Amino acid sequence: MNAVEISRSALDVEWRRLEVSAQNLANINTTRTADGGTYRPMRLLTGPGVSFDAMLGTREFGITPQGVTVLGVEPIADAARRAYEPTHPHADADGFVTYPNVDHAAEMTLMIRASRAYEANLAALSMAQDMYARALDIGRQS
Amino acid sequence: MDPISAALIDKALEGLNQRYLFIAQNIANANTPDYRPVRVEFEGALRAAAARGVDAIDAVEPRVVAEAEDAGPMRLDLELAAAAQTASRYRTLVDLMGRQMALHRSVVSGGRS
Repeated sequence: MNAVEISRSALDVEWRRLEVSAQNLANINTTRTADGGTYRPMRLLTGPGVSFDAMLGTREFGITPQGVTVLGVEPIADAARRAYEPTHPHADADGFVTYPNVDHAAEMTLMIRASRAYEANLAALSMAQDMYARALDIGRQS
Repeated sequence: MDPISAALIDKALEGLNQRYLFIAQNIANANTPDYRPVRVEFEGALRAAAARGVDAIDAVEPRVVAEAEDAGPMRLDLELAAAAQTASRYRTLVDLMGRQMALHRSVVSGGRS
């Protein structure tokens, strides 16, 4: 992978992280999903594309950094929020409605972190392109 | 260009390119939990090899080392600064190489451009 591809992989990951957070916030008041269950807030799991130990040492192992990849999207493991609303069409026998337990503040901070990382990778990508473009000038007749 | 400086520029470009790759990797993993940033070192080895001739310079391999465990979380701004610095050094060396080549060309053509 070259530097542009590494930064590009991170742009993809952070973009998807923003999408997942946006989805969680959009469904903050969803009481029932299309398949009849309750909405569960999701988290994007990501990690480096190559194991850490493989990157250390010299180049002779032929390992180059592989950017970052999505490992999966998992629901957050915490209970749903139940509110007493007996008039709500989705209320259960006891008059409780089940809402997804979306942590509003946590989603907002995660979104800020993701967009900061996105911007940083955009900057790194344009620097790399500039660097490689200059290398093309080697041997140019001047 | 004398063979020593040609080999030095060559090796330095390789090291800087490698360093840039790993900085890009660090920035790409800004939101990876427990990620330890990595650094590429080659200047010291290159300086030592420069005194020993071309073969020693060619044998220099950039070393990839991990940041200490207790270094704390990665500073995104410092990584970006390092990226900018690396890119500008790379461009400087490329520029130097181009100038050397232009000089050689004018020597070969006897000053007629």
